[in-house]
Amino acid sequence: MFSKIFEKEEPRVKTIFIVEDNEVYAKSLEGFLTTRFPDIHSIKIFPFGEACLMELYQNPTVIIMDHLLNSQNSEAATGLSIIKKIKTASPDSNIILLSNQNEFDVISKTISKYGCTYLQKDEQSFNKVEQLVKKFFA
Amino acid sequence: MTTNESKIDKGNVCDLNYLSELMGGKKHLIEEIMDVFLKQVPEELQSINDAIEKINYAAIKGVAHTMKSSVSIMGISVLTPILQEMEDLGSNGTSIEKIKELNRKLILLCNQAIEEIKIEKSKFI
Repeated sequence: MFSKIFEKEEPRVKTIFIVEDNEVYAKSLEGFLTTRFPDIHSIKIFPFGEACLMELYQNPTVIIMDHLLNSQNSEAATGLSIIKKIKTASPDSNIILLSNQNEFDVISKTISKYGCTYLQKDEQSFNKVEQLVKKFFA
Repeated sequence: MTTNESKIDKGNVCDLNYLSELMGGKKHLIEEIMDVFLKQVPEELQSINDAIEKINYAAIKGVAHTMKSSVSIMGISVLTPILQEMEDLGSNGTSIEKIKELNRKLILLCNQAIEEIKIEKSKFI
């Protein structure tokens, strides 16, 4: 079922997916990345993970994912469950889990298993995202 | 007016320097974020009110959690502990009266923030 969804387009261009249900936060991150990476090809925002899965064929350079994504749609899957699907089908995907979790221990095992980076949402998180994105773009 | 309300009315609750710094000082980006905030916050306040009315602790927790991210972008640090407490109480599924009290503060501060942002936005025109 997912074979077409995960089919990749070549060549890879600098593309970022932001999966975030808080529009203020998502647009702020988009604006920040636009100013820091003016040569970026595109940034796409998805309010929930299922929508992101449907566009993975675009082979984004990096996916920045929140964990709790159900503020607009109570049925929306968590970021972690979306990450599992992405990594199972496309193990090389670069994923940053950018979230504000008090229960970090609960998710730390999963993110280490799937090779993602976890960043806590705080005043420094955008700058940390910038450093990671630089690495992925290099 | 209660004591809390009179305290809230003194001074700005927003510090937009952080947003400006994030956007590299680009006014069109700052204005865009302000517009989204002005649309989003009344919807979130309505969601919390609805959740309180239905005593839906999970929804209270969820909206409070989401709001923490956006208020931090707009530099409304005074709201962070209020939202954190609402999220914690929602998570515990207790103290609806305390949640209602926190919600009254939240509404007052958000309304003040909205007014401040509207004023700042008008300076861009």
